[in-house]
Amino acid sequence: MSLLEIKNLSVEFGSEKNPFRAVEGLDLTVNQGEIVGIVGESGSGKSVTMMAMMGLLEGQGRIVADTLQFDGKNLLTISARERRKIVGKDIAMIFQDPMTSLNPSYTVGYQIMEVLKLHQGLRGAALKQRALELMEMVEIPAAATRLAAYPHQLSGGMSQRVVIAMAIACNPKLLIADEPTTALDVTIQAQIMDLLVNLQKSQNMALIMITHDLAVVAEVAHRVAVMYAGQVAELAEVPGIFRHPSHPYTEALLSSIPEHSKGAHRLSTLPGIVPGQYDRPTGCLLSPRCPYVKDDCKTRRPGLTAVEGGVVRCHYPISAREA
Amino acid sequence: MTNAKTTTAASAVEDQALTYPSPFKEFWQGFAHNKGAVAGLLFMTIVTLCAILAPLVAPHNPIEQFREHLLQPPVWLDGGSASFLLGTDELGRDILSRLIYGARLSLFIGLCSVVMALLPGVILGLLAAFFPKSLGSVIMRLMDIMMALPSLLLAVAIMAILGPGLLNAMIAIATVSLPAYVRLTRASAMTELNRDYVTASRVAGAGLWRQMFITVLPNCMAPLIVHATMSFSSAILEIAALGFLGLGVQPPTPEWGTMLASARDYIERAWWVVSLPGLTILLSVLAINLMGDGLRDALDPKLKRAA
Amino acid sequence: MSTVLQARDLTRYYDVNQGFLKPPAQVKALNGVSFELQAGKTLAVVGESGCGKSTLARQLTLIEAPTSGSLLLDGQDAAQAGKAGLKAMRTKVQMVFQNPYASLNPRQKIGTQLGEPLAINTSLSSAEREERVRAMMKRVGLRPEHYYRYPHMFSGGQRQRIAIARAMMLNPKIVVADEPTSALDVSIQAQVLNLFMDLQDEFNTAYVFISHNLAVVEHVADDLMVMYLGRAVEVGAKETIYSRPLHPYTQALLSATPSIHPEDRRVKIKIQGELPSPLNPPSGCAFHKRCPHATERCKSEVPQLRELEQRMIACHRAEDINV
Repeated sequence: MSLLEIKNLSVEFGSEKNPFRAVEGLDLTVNQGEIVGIVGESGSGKSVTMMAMMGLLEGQGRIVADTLQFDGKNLLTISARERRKIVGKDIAMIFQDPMTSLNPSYTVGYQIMEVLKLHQGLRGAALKQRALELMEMVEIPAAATRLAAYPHQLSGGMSQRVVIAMAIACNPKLLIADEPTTALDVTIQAQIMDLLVNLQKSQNMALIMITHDLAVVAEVAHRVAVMYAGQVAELAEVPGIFRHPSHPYTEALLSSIPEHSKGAHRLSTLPGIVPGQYDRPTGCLLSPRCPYVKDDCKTRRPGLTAVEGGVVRCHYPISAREA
Repeated sequence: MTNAKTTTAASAVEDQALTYPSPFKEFWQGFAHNKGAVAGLLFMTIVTLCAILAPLVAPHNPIEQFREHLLQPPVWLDGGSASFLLGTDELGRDILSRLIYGARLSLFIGLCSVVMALLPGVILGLLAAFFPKSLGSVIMRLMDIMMALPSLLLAVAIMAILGPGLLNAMIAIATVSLPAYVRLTRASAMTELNRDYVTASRVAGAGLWRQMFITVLPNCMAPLIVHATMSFSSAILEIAALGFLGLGVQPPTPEWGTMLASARDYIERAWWVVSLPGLTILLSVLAINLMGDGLRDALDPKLKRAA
Repeated sequence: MSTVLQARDLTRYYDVNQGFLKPPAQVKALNGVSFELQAGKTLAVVGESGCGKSTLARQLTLIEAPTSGSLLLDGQDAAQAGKAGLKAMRTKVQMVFQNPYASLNPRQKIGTQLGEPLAINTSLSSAEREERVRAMMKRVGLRPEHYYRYPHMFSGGQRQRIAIARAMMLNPKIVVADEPTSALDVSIQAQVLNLFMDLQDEFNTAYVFISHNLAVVEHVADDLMVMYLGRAVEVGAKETIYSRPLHPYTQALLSATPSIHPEDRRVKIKIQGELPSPLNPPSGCAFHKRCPHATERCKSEVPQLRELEQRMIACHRAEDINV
């Protein structure tokens, strides 16, 4: 059985009359010990999906799903109290900006120990011991003295390590990392990625990696979901998805990266922009921008169809066409 | 060349298809969107009209004392009469007429002292923000000293130097409220100065005055507008306080603040003598604050819909 | 080919207050940087935060005067130009900023903002200005009705187009672009990079392209300058450096850059530790604390830029470690 199972998840914002669907019919499964990448441009619904799953959208968005199951528990029906027991303990999250995800008024040690007190009921020497252990796990040098440091006294890389330490404090089964390295420098980014992957292996966690950087997920993820305008456009295994993308959008994303068109003077681009709130096309959401668009793409919304190594939301997947 | 001409001609045609409202109309659309602001504007228009047309509107002379009608209640209470709609004060003067005439002076005082504090305050604040090291620290320390003194004491001290009189009273009030404007302008200008668009205009070659007044100032307006409308009311009340000390408006000249101050002794016996001027000030201040909110929103392009 | 920009030993020090009764410290944000830039070419400046990239941009755009060193713009020495001379020189260097949301004045319409450089620096009538603005808007792919809109009505990519249009209004010889695409999504990034390249072809503008994204740099640059803590550590032609980086820091940067295709990946070099603070730089070579090849000499002696294998490099051990 998979650790996380999401079937047909939709998240709506705005009024009942004039709803805006941030996420539409999303299916995703994550297995124990697996790294899944979620890639998409801003506004494609990648973060909203995770927030909805963790119940962080209460009062803002309306969440509808056929299945929303984590570790055998139905997240749709459990009470807020039970949810709190899961979120933060079995599901932990790391955010993009380490500087804002730590409270500037408390020391790093205090913040880590708070988490341990709350979820594991540790007290006294055991508490301190575990906090130190965590700091060492995330490879913070001079951990004992750093416990007394305030967030502003740490660099961005160090802060992100502290955030990771807090996230893994309760041995979560699933760790969600939302653009964990975007705010960091290149060499620090590599260190943090290394750390995350090592921790994932040693703790046998599942890791969901939300990012807009295809190269980052290409290096670490086992499977990648590409999101476009609130839908999963393609979900397939690495490296197949990068070698032979099935969805025109995946292909376009790949070819717009400078790395992909080495030596070329111009980069290939997808014309236009992601459809906004109220101008979504009736057919396939990519149809106005798709270079391979056919007549029925403009009228019929495609569902997810299976291709080799994954699923794709396209009437005419590229790999199938070539075969 | 011909190519360029045809394209501009074409774009001109497209422009006509997409007519854009004039700046004033655009402003009005934004303002009218806010119902409270429109109500405030309506109320203030009525008050202003009454003030201007006071000799025509007011039923009595504001300083005429009707000795036989001392402290007469308003018309809807027992003992009221139709000739004194809002009753009379302790000297038998018609309150309605005094309120109408008083609007002239009160609105004038409020407006003048706000403008007299706002203009130098904005300029000093901008200078302090643009030259934080030299001029800025001098200006800010000076403002700190002014803020350290109790405001009424400072106003009285200024009046003592300048001598009594309405204009001097307004100068004193404006000076007292100056530090708030300077600090407010400086704070918001400092945050705006760190934005890239200010650097961009420097790279484009903008001079100091252009940067100060065209680039930065419009982006600092929101808190200034709110503060200006707020201090309108405190100016009216402070003028009354100065009048109470014999330094501002002298009786029997009708003025809202003075009316409020001088009727304090009768609050238990004749509530209307205190409450009606108070209510007038309250409603005016409320109306002006609502207008200020509308003004702030109408001037903020972020709240305008895509044309 | 003409040299449009020549920097000789540029330095810029800032005084930093350390608190009451302590002498102010000096931050050497820029510590002797020299380079040349030809018309129509792109120099990429690469480095992590605190390396002096942004300080360099402020010197090049003449917003700040350097502490020492000389800057020749189009053959004119900035230090010797008077006030009027400086104003004329400023029109030759323009800038595109990183954050497209902060670099446009929220209270001015696009038409006004684009016309501002012309209004300040030329004596064109308002009708002539409008014509030029509209022509430039068309050139960068904005629609005529955008003339009357405010910045918040645009997406990030469109704003960056507006910012580029503003920089190009005066037809400058040099455009300094400070991380112009790092805030944009990949597909939008490709559009903006293409625009940069097209404008360069059309107007023969020289670019100083500041970035930490080595994949983007590889696409746009002709020459490359790698900076570390205020100094250039490796300067040369892009092909030379990418095909065989000699400085250990350049090697680390390149290996830390993630890549989609496994065959493009370089051998990972792990560098330890964090970027040192510019307030308290290490003795000798600034990189020695993180360098895997550091020796005693690196700790005591500051390496000078010298020529090696068609490039300039500042490393004592460049020969020994690259055999």
